[in-house]
Amino acid sequence: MVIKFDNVTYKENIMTPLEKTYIKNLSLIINENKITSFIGDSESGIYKLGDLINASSYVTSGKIKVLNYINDGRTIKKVNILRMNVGLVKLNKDEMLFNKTVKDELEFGIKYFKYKTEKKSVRVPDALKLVGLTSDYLEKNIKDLTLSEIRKVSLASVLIFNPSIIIIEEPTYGLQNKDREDLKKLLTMLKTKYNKTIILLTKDTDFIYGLTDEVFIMNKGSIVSHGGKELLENEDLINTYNLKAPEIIRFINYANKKNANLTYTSNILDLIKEVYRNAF
Amino acid sequence: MHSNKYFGSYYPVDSFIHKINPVIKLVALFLLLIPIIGSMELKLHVVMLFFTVMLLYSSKVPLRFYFNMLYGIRYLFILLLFLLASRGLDLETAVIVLLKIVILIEYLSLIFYTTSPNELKYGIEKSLSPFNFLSLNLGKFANVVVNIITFFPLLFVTEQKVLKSASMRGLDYYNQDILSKIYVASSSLKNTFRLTFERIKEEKFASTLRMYNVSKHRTNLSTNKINFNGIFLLLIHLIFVAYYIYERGLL
Amino acid sequence: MNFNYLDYVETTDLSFGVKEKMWITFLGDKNKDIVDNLLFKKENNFITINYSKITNKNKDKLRKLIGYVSFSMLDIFLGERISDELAYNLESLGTNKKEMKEKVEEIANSYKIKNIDKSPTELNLSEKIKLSFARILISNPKVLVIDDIIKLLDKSDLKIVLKNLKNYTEKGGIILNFTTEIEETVLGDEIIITDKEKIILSGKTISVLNEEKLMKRLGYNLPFIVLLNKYLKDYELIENYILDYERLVDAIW
Repeated sequence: MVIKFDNVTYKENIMTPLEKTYIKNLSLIINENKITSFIGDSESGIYKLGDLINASSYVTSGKIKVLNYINDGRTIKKVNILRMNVGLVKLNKDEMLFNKTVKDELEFGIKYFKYKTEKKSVRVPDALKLVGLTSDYLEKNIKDLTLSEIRKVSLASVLIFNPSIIIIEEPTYGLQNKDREDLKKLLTMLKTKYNKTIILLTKDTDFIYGLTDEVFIMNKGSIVSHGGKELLENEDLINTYNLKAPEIIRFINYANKKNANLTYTSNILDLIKEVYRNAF
Repeated sequence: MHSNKYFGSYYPVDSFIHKINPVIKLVALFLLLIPIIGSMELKLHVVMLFFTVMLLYSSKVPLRFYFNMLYGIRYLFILLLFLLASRGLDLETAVIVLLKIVILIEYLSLIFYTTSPNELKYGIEKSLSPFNFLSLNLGKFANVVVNIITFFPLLFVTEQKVLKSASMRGLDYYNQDILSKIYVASSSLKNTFRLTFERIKEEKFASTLRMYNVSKHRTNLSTNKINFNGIFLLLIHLIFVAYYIYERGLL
Repeated sequence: MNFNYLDYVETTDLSFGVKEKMWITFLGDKNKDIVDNLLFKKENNFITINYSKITNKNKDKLRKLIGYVSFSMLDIFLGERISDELAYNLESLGTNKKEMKEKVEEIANSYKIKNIDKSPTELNLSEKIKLSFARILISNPKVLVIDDIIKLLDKSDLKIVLKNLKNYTEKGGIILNFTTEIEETVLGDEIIITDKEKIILSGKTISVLNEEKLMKRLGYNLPFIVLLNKYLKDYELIENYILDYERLVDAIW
């Protein structure tokens, strides 16, 4: 158990006319060395979870225990070590990137985390390589980059510290198919080879089916369902919460209504072989 | 934490004050200036202060937003008191001057919290329209004025964003003592200024995309209403002006 | 209306023309540059509308013809309430108050936007995206440029927006959808794929998607339903492409 939520409620703009509750009485446990996904629509509050876990937002009530730190609304001592170990990649680049060039952005935290700065010349190009960018991106201005380059730079600026927990909001937004496949391979490698804990906050069920170990479905600030990837095969459940099931599941469900008896799989080639066998 | 994210920019709720036509607000501000500048009577200032606080309360903006700024410049007030005392002015005059400043600051904050930049532009243009015969470019002037007014709130809002992003990557602002806070805030200033200017450019571009044109005539869906709220405000101000004129002996 | 984009500078070869009622999906690394040119961000001679070029004089008049929806402009609100935000474009055009009120109500209904007297800053992500479509289409531009945003809509809001976009194209609108999500190509009639300063592939959606090998080399998969159809056709389980799951299943079993 590496992250524990204990009856957490999160509200913004408290005691003003604009008060809004995003997370209600949430209790959950996220396990180590696994890829956990939170899925939900825009009203579900999933985009606030990342800030709560790395303590850049404080809980309104309840308690979050991350590694050895507790976020219960009070000041946290030595919070930098927590932040270095929990990397958060936000969907909106304006909430995350603020330097002029890619080089400044990647080198920013190294100075302040007092991390092994003598390895700066190695860490920065390595981080870019992990996400698939070459070193000539270092001199480019962030506002001149395309969307997919910005998302890759955001991920690199988090991976550069080698955090043990990596949280990504909408990992596939802005990325083309090849980049998505590369990201899938990267996340799997980070989990198995480097023992990292990965948390994905997304609506994209196609990407996580076949990648994730655990799934939490959120609706209006609370967890409504929790399980393994077989949760994504329950199309009725997914549709109730304003989400779309993976395309492959939708096809299999239509086919099984006609008694095709296909088994759930995330690989299209296996599916085709089974269809071929069953149709004759 | 982060109690005031708005720093004098528009606060998006619906209230008695928000519904008032911006032209009326600016006329009321002008009317308020008459007794503020001219009068030296304690009773009038106390009543005006009370009235302003009532307005603040009815604007549905959290009261601590208004008092934060006063609290921030409390040392300046003490300095001012000493300055006035050294010039030989008595306590009553000093208090009156203080009240003038407080009323003016709070009234201006009220206008900035309850009027959006668009409404301000409209208000400045329309209220200066009697001067159209001078064939000055009033639209551009209103634009420049509003840009200057909204620059500093935008700067503070951007600074908050940068501080939050920086704290996610090691330069933490929130869990530190005051000296470190000052260090963190000042080292982020370069990025903050650059991002503020970029944001201003983006907002200007967004409005040109939506066909905003300074020299062309624009209509308005809801801004040019004259309703009870505005008339009530003007009446009270006229009462103050009338009392001031009476107090001065029909000057 | 005839709309042409011509970029033959040096090594670049990006030129395309669009006709009314077309929906074109753009993929590739030149998306950002093309969008910047479409918004007249730089001095450019790339675009001709009805055979006349864009100059500084007619630039402002031509703003009326092109609408733009993107993630970066999502949080820039120019109105105090949702009704003001929706009416902003009409206010710029000098529409009278009665007509504005009717149009605002009409579009709030067709996009199912409730509480139009609240501030737009209180909306969640998907509602903001819906609002950003409504506030542009209310003034009925000839061309709508969508910059990689459809993917972030919730399922219910996606249905509403797609229905309205279909209406828009049926009444003569042109949609240019710049995206990285391959599944969105099935929504459009044509695809244009750019790679390294050139247009590599362009044409009707199905014929472009048939070039599977070239697309794979460029880094694109096919949309799931198209890939499925391709395999099923190769295995001779179906004769023609059927782009609807229910009918596809009926054809096999």
